[in-house]
Amino acid sequence: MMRRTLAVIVLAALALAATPPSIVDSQPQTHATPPPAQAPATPGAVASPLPNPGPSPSAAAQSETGTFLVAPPSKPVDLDTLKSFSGQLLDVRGGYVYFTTGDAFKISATARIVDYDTGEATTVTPDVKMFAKATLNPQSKEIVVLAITRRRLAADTEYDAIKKFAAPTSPEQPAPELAGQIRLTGRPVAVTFYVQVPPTTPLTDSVYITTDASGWLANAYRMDRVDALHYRLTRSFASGTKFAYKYTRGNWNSVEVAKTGLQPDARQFFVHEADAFRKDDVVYGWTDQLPNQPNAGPQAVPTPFNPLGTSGFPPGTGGEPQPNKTLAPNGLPPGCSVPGCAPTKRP
Amino acid sequence: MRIFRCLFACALALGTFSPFRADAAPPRSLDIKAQHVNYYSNRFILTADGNVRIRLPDGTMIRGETFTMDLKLNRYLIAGGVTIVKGKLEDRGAALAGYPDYDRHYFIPSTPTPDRWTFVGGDWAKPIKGGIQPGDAFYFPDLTAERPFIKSTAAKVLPKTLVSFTNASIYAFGAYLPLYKYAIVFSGNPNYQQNGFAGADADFAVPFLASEHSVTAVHARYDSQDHLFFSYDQHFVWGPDYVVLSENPATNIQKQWNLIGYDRLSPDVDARLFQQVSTLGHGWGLTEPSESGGETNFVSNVYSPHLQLAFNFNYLQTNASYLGGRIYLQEQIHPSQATLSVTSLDHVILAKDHRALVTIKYRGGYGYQHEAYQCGLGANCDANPNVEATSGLYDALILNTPVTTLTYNYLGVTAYTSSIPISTEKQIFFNATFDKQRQSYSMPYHTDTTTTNMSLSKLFGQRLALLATYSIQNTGNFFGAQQDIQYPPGAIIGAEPYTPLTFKDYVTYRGFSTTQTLAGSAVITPNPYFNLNLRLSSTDSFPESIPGYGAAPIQLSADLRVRLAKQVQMDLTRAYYFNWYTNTYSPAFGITFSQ
Repeated sequence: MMRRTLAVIVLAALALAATPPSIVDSQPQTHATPPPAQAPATPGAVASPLPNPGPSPSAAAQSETGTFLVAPPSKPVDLDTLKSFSGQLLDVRGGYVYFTTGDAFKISATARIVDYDTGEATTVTPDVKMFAKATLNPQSKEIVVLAITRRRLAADTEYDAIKKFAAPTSPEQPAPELAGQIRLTGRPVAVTFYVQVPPTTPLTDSVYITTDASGWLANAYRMDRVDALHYRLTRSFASGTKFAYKYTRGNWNSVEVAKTGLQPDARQFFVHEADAFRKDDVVYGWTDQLPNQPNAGPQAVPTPFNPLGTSGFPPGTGGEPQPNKTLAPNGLPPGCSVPGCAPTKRP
Repeated sequence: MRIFRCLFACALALGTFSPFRADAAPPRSLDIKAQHVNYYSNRFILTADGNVRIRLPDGTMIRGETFTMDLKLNRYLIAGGVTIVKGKLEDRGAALAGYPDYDRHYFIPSTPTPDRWTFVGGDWAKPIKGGIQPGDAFYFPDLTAERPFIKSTAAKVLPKTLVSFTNASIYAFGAYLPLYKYAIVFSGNPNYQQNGFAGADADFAVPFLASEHSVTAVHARYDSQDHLFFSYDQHFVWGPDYVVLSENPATNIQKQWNLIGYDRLSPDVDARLFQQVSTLGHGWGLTEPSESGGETNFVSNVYSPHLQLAFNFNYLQTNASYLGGRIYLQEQIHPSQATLSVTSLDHVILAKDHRALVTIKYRGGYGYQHEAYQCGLGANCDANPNVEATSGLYDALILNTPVTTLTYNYLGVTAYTSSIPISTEKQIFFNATFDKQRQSYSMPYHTDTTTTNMSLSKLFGQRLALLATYSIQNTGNFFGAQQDIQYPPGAIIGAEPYTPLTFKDYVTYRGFSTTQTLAGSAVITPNPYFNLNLRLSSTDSFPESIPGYGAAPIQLSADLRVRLAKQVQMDLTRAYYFNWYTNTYSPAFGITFSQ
C-alpha cells in the first residue's frame, strides 16, 4: 500500500512539474474530486494530499524545481477522495480558513500555503479578499493545501459538495426575515418599460426615465415612441438591481404627476430573477400641463398688443417668444438694466 | 390556575419570539475610518481597506481589515479579524454583515469556535446562534474593472440617503482633484436634487456639506452670457417636503435669489411656494442692490375623489428699473394673477370588451389678472401713448380702453381614443385626440381653441417604429363688433428686436388662425446604445409663421443619442429648414452630454 501511494505521488509530482500553470484558467475544474491524472492541470488545487508530511530528500529536490510536493505521507491517503474547491477568503485565523460562503474549514497544522500560479510555497500570508483553491482531506475534514492568489477565481465546485466539510455550527435557527426570498444570481434580465402617457403629450416630444442611479438626471434614458400614447424602453439589468425612477419629458419642469394631480413618490423597481420582464406604467399628467402651473402668469392673455403672451404669438402658430415671460417693466428680466443680461428662468 | 397557564403561555411566546424582536432601530449612520476609503460611482459601492474602524450611533465600535457596502442594496460587510466592541462586550470573528433593512447583523465568530450568529436590533449581547443567514451575506463585489470616483480616508454613511467624505479626492477631468469635503447623495428621494437655478450650459456641483435633511453645494457653472461663474444652493428635505435656497450667480453683480418650498400637507393636498428676487449690485459680494425685482408664485393642489382642484397665484414686485438709461419707475407696481381650476378624472364614454375606446376629460377654471399687461418689447408703447399716459405701463389698450384688471373663465374638454389596433398582426395602431377650450373675459372678448390630432403607428419589432401624424389647430379671437378695430385691415406687425421680419399675413388676419401639420417620424433603435429619431414635417399655417415664431413650413429634424462610454452618452440634435427665410439649419447643433 505504501509503495503504491508513493508511486502515485511521484507520478503526480512529475506531471505537475511538466505542466505550465497557465492551464489553470483555461480548464476550470468543475467537479470536486479530480482524478490524480488531472491534478497537474490545476496546480493551485492539487497540493500535497498528505496530512502529515515529513521531509524527504527526493521531495525536497522536487520542490526546488517548482513542485510543491515536499514530503511523503506518514499515513496513506486515497487521492481519489481529495476534495478541492475555489473561493474567496474572509479570514484565516485560529486554525480555520473562512470563505465568503460564510463557512469555516479547519486547516491542518502542517498544511502548505502555496502560490496558485506557480504552485510553489509562498511567504505571502493568506488574507481577506484573496482567492484560494483549497484541497481538503475528507477523512480529517482539514485543508491540507491552500493555493492563494489575488486573481479572481471562478467557483468550480457545487456548494453542497463541500458544505459538509465545513466546521460544524450551532443547530440551525429559523430566520423569519429571510422567509420566501429567492436566491438572486445577478444574471442579466431584459426589462422593458412600457408607459402610457396622457393624450396631451405633444407628438414631437420625447419621454425619458430619470432614476436615482443616474443622479435623477431628467433625461437619463430616452424612450422610444410606440404610438401617440405609448413609449417603451428595453434595458438589461442584473437581477437584484433596485432603483427608483420617474418619467419626464426631458426636464424637471415636465415631470409626471399622479392621478391626484399631485407629485407622486418615485416609482420603485426591483429586478427579479427572470429572463425578461415587462413593466407597464401609466402617466396621468405632466407638471407643465397642469392648469395651475406658473406658465399661466401675467401676459397670458393673447391679444395683438401683448405679443409676448405665453399663449404664443401669433395666436395659433404655436410659436413661443424667445425671451422669458417674466420681464421687468423695462422689458428686461428683473434686475436687468441693460439688454443682454441673463433671462430670468424659473428653475 | 388558568391565569397562570395564560401567563406561562405568554412568557413562553415571548421567550420564543424575543430573539427576533428588534430592541433598537437599525443604525442610522456609520462612521468609517480607514487607510483607504473608496467610492465606486458606477456601482454605488463604498469600500474601506486597512485598519477599518466603524462607529455606530449607539457607540458600538467595529474593527476589521476590509469593509464594503452596497449603498443601493443597503447592506455592508466587514471582514478580516473583526472585533465588535460595545461597552464591556467584545466579540471576535471573521466577518460581520449588516442588513439595516432587516435590522440584523450576521456574524461569523471565530472564538471559541467558528459559528453563525445573528444579532437583532443591535443587541450584541444576545446572538441567535445558528441563525440562518443570507447565502451571499459575505460576498465581496467584483470591482476588478472599476475605478474609484472618490478616494478618501473617512466617510459617514447615512443609509439610503447619502455619504459624506472627508479628505476626499474626486476623479474629474482625468485626475484626482483634492477636495476637503464631498458628499454623494444616492437617495431614492428626488427632492435632494430639486433645482433652484436657472439653466446653464454646464454645471459642476460640489456638495460639500450634507446631513440627513440637508445638502449644501457650490456649483461651478458656465453659460454663453456670464461665462464661468459660481453659484450656491442649500437643500432641506423631509420626505416629500423640501426647501431649496439658491444664489445664482454668486460671483456676478447681477444675481438671482431663489426660494422654493414644497409641503405635502396631506396625501391629497400640497402647496408650493416660489420666490425669486433679482438684484443688480455694485460688486459680487453682499452689497446693496441698485435695483431689484421679484416674483412670488404660490400653487396648491387638492384632490377630491373625482376632481383635481388647483390654485395658482402669481405676484410680481418691481422696485426700480431703467429704460434707456433713465429711471422709468419709482412707484411700486404689482402685477398679479390668480387662477382656480378644476379638472376631472378620465371618463370612458365608449368601450368594447371591457376595453376603453374613447375617454373624455373636462376642465374649467376662473381667474383674474391685475396690472397684467406690460409695455414690454413689442407692446407698441410708443405707438400708443395713451397707455403710458393713463395709469402706468401696466395697463393694456383693449378696445381702445386701458384695462387694469380683468377676470376670465374657461371650459375645456379633451376626448381621446386608446390605441386602436388596425392590424394586430402587422402592429398598426390608430390614435386620435380632440381638444376644445373656450376662454371668456370680463369684456366682450373670448377665445376658442380647437386641436385635433390623428396618428397611425407601426412597429417593426424592437428596432424600428414609424409614426405618421396629422394635427390641426384653430384659434379664434372673438371681439364681436370690435373685431375690425382689434385687427385692422392692413396692419403690419413685426417682432423686433428679435427679427426685422414682419408677419405678412397680418394684413388679412382678422383674429382667426389655423395651423395644419403633417409629419412622419421614425425611431430607430438597433441596440440600447444607439437611438435615432428622424422627423419630417410639413406645416401650413395662417398667419404664416416667421423664424422664431412658429414652425418652418418644411422641416427635417434628427435627434441622435449615442452612448460613448459606460457613463457617458451624447445627444446630438439638428433640424434642416429647407431655406425658410434664408434659414437652412437650426441655429446650432444641440449637444448634450450626460451620465
